[in-house]
Amino acid sequence: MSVDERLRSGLVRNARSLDPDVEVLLESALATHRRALWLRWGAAAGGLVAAASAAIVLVIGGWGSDRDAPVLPAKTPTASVAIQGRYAGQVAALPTVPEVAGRWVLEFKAGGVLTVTAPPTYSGVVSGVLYAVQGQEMRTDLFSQDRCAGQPLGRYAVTRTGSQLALMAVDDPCAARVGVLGATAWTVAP
Amino acid sequence: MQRDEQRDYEWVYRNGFTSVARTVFLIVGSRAVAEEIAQDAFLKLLQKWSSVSDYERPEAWARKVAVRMAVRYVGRERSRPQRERRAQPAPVDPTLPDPDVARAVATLAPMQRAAVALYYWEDRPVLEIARILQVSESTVKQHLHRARARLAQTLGEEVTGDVR
Repeated sequence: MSVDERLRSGLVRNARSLDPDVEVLLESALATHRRALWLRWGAAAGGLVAAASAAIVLVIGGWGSDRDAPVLPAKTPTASVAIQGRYAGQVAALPTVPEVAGRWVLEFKAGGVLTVTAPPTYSGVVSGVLYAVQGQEMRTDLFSQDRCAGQPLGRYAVTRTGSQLALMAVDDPCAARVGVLGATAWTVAP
Repeated sequence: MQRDEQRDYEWVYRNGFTSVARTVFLIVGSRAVAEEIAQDAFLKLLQKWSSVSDYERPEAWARKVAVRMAVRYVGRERSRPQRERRAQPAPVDPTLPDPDVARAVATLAPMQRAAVALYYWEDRPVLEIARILQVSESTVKQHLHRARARLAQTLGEEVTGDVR
């Protein structure tokens, strides 16, 4: 047999062995898109609320203080922490989800897309993940399609030191997400 | 997104997703990764739907994005330190109908894998493969030539003629 015939028949048969559940994935894509719009709307609304709060603080503070004293800058979050890029981390097995053990790669992309590469042993859904950063806080819907389904977004305090990124859970009811994101020091990966 | 727009997107997704995911699967060699990459590509399509929906074949846009993501993924995996790869090898699924072909393709460079998948599985002409991979036609022919030679050796098959 020629290599061309062998490749055509072998590749066709191998390709057809993949039979994704298109309806489930389509629904997931639409839901992810809706969440992305919601996250964007939430970030914008959050920014407006923060700006309005800062204005109120300044007005009230200014009213009660010495009118001749210089106005101090409000202690509102400044620019969002820059976390775009690829980070890798070694995650230990969790008592409830031992298959998370291994090397994870998080790629925070522009536009709020978080591409996650899980260890080969992990079988959960890690596609269509989103994130948003506001100030020093990052919100994400990682695992919202299976392990954290129906739970609120996870909120994490972000600390970037050199090539290290630390994510500390501020408010996340999903233990699996905390176990993966918060239990390791993420290092910039090539 | 208007209801008509969503209906059109759903139609494109239902008709194109499986084919794109299968092409990506042949490149990356993992079902889970293939579905993730195809899903990411169709999500990007959804984000850009207002402009891409005017194209003659919107799914071709998603396919191009997915194939390039797959090539980058394979490139990244291959550049991981060898010791790390040994610790977490990604073995070829033995339940595949033709695991020998999958194993042989897995030895190829990322662009060669993509060229092989697009040429033999999608049956695309060299010119179209060149457009998808954003390289020249002669580069695609070179990738296919080298890939065929290597695959023939690995699979113990003979090389006859050359790519068109």
